[in-house]
Amino acid sequence: MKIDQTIVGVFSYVDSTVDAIKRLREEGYGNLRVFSPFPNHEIEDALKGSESIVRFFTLTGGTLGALCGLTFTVLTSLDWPIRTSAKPIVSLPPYMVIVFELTVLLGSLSTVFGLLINSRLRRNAPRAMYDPRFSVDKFGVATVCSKEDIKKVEEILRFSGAEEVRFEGV
Amino acid sequence: MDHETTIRETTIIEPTVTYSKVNESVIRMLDKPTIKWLSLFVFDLAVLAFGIFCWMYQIYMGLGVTGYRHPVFWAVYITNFVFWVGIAHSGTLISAILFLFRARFRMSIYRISEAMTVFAVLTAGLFPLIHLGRPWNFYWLIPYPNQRGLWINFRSPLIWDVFAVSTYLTVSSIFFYVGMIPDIAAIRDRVKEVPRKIIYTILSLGWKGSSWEWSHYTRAYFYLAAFATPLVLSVHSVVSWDFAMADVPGWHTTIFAPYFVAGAIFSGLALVITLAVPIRKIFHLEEYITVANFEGMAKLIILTGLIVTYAYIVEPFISWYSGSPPEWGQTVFRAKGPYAPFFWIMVFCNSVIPILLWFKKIRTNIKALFIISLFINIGMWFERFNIIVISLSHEFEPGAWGIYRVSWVELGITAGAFAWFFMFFLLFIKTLPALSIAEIKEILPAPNKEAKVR
Amino acid sequence: MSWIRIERYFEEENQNDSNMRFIPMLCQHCDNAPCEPVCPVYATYHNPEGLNVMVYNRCVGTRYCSNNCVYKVRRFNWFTYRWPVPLNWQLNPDVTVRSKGVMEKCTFCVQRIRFGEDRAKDEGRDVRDGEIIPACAQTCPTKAIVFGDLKDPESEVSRLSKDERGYGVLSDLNTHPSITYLKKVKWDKV
Repeated sequence: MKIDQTIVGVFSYVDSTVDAIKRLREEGYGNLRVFSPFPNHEIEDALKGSESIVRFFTLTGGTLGALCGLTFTVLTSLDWPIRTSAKPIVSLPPYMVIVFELTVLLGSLSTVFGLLINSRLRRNAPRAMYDPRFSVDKFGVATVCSKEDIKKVEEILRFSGAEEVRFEGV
Repeated sequence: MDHETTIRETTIIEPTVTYSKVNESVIRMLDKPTIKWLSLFVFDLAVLAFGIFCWMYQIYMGLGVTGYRHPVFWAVYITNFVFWVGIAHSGTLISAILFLFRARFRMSIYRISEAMTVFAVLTAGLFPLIHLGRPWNFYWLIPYPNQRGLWINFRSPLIWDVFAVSTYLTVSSIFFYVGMIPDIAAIRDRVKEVPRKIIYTILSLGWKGSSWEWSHYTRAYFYLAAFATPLVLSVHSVVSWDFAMADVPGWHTTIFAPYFVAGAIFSGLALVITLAVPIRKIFHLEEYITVANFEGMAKLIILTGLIVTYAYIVEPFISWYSGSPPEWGQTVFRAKGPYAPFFWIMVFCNSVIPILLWFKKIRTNIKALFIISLFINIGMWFERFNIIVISLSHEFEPGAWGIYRVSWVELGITAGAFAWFFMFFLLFIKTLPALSIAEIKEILPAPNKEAKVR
Repeated sequence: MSWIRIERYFEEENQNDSNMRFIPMLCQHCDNAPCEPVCPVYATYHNPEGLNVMVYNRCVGTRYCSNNCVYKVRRFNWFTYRWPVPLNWQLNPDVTVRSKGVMEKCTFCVQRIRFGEDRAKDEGRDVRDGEIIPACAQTCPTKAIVFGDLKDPESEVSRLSKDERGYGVLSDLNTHPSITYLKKVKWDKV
C-alpha cells in the first residue's frame, strides 16, 4: 500500500473547507495541504498547526545585530584612538544608535531568511497540485493516499462540498 | 458576523467587491501601457536627464556653482534629503504601524504608500552623495577595512545617518517585497505571455498559498512590522539629530526628534493622498480606495499637523525664555528677516490650511483633499528649508552672517530628484500590484455556504 | 580664502563720537572643538600638541564641521584653485591642497611650528619661547598677536593669558578656545 497518490478537492466556501479538513483528519489523513488565497483563522484552527518557528530566526538575528554593533564600534574606536573634542574614545551613547540600527537590520534579514527556509522545508507534504484559481477565490484541500483509498477520500471531499476532485496524473 | 457588518457600514471597501473582482481590478492595471502613461514617462525621463546633467556639471566645476556661500554650508540638498526621508516614513507608518494597530482603513492604500516609501528612500539616498564636496570618495563613509587602518567616526550624526538610512532602505524594501509575494503569485497565475510569466514566476518564489506558508508568512510579516515601527521613529530621529546634535541656534533643541517624526508623517500622508487620488481616478479603483480611507488619513494629518504646530509655538517660546541673544535673534530673524516670506509660507501651509480638515465636508471631498495635500507638501519642504538655511544664515558671530540664494543647478537637481522618484513610481504602477489582493480579501466577508447575509 | 578675518564692531557713544573695536577672528583651536566630533571620516581631530588638525586628504566635503563651528572660521574650497605657473611647482603632490570639495582653516602656521620643532630637535634643545612666529603675529605692526606654548608657565603667552583682561570669545558655549583675547580698556572708563 504505497501512499503516493495526491488528491486535491476544490472548494468555494470556507466552512466547506473546514468541514473537509475535520473529516479527513478524523479518518486519519493528517498530512494535509490547504490552499487559500488569503490566510484564514478558521482554516488555521482546524489544522491545529504549531506556532511558526520564524520567531527564533528573528531573535537570533536581532541579538546578533546588537552584539555586532557594539563590538564593531567599540573595537574600531580602540583600534586607532583619535581624539575628537573632549568626547571619550569609547563613547557609548552615540554607539547605541548604531547598535539599534544593526539590531533591526539583522533581525529583519534573518526573519525573511527564516520565512524562506521554513516555507520550503516541509517534508512528505502533498506535492502541489496547484490550480491557478487558488490565488483568486477558491480553496483547495490536498492529501496523499494509496491507490486503493482514492475512492474513499474522494467520497469524503465530495460529501464536504468539493466542487471538483482531481487526482495526480488524471 | 457583527464585525463584518460593521466594516461594511463604514464602507472601507464597497460591498460590490468580490474575490475574483479584486484580482481582476488589480491585474487589469498591469495591462499594456497607454499613450498617456508613455508620454508621462518620457517627460519624466527628460526632467531626470536634465537633473543628471546638472549634477555632472556640479561635479566637474565644483560646489561653487550652487548657491552655497559662507556661512550657509547646507541648503537645498539637505532640505531635499530630509524631505524625502520624511515622506518615506509615513509609508511605513501606514503599512507597519497601522497594521499593528489593526486599523482597517489602511488596507487599500498601504501598497501604494509602501512603494512610495521605498522610492522616497532611494531618492533621499542620492542627496548625501550629491551634496558631498568630493562625491567620488563617498565610500569612505562606510567602515571597510583598509590599508591605512582608518575607521569612521561613529560619534558623528552623519554616520548614524548612513546606518539608519541604509537599514531603512533594506528593511522597507524587504517589507515591500515580502508583502507582495502572494500577490505576485496571483499575477503569475493570470499572466500568459512568456517573458512576463517567467519574471513573475521567479519573483513569486514558488508561492502556492499553502497553510504553513501562510502561517510562516503572517508571523514574518508581523515581526517585520514590529521591527519597522521603532525603525520609523529612530530613523527620522537620527536624521533630525544631524541638526539637534549641532550647536547652531535654531538647530540645537531637544524637540527635534518628535517634531521631525510628526512632520515626516504629516508630509508623507499628504504625498500618499497626492498619489492615491489620480491612481484611483485613472484606474477606476473607487470601490477599493473609498472615502473612508481618505478620511482616516485626513484625521492622521490633523493629528500630526497639530504636533507640528505645537513645535512652531514652543520653539520661539523656549528661545525667548532661554534669554540667549543668539537664540532669540534667530527667532526674530526668521519671522522678520529677509527670509520672512518662506517662514510665513511654511506657517500658513502647515498650520493654517490643515484647519480646513476639521470640517467633515472638506475631509470627505476628494478634490479638496488633493489640493490641501499639495499645500502641505510645499509647506513641509519650506519647513526644512527654514530650519536649515535660515538658522545657518544667522548664527553666533555677527561677523559671519550671510545670505543664501538658490542657483539653477540646485533647482535642476531638485527637479531631477522628483523625476527619479516618479520614474520608479510609474514603473511600479505598471509592473507590480498596486493594491494588496490578499489583504483586501481578508477584510471582505468570508464566503460561507451557511451564510444568509450577503 | 581668508583664514583670519578682522571683525569690526561699531559702538556709538553719542551722535558725534563712535568707537570701532576690532576682533581678529581665526580658528580658535578649541579644546572642546565642536567641529571635531561631527566629521564622519575623522578629517579633523585634536592632536597631542593641542592643535585642531585638518587633514585635507581625508576630507570628503560634508561641511558639517563648518556648520558646527561657532566662530565660523572654516573655509571651503568651492572650486579648484589653479596656481599660476610656475607657482604650482611648490605644491606637495602627495597632499590634497586646495582641491575642490575640501575644507580648510587656520592651522596656527603648522609648517612653521614643525620647522621650529625640527630645528630644535636637530640642535638637541627645547623650543625657545618666541622662536615660532606664525604669519599673523609676524605681520602685525603693533605686536597685537602673541604665539607660544601655553603649557610652559614661563612663556609670554601663558603670562598674558592669565591677565585680568583675558576672555575667550563665546566662552559660555564651553568650547575652551586656545586663544585668549585681552579686552581693550579705555582709561576714561576705569
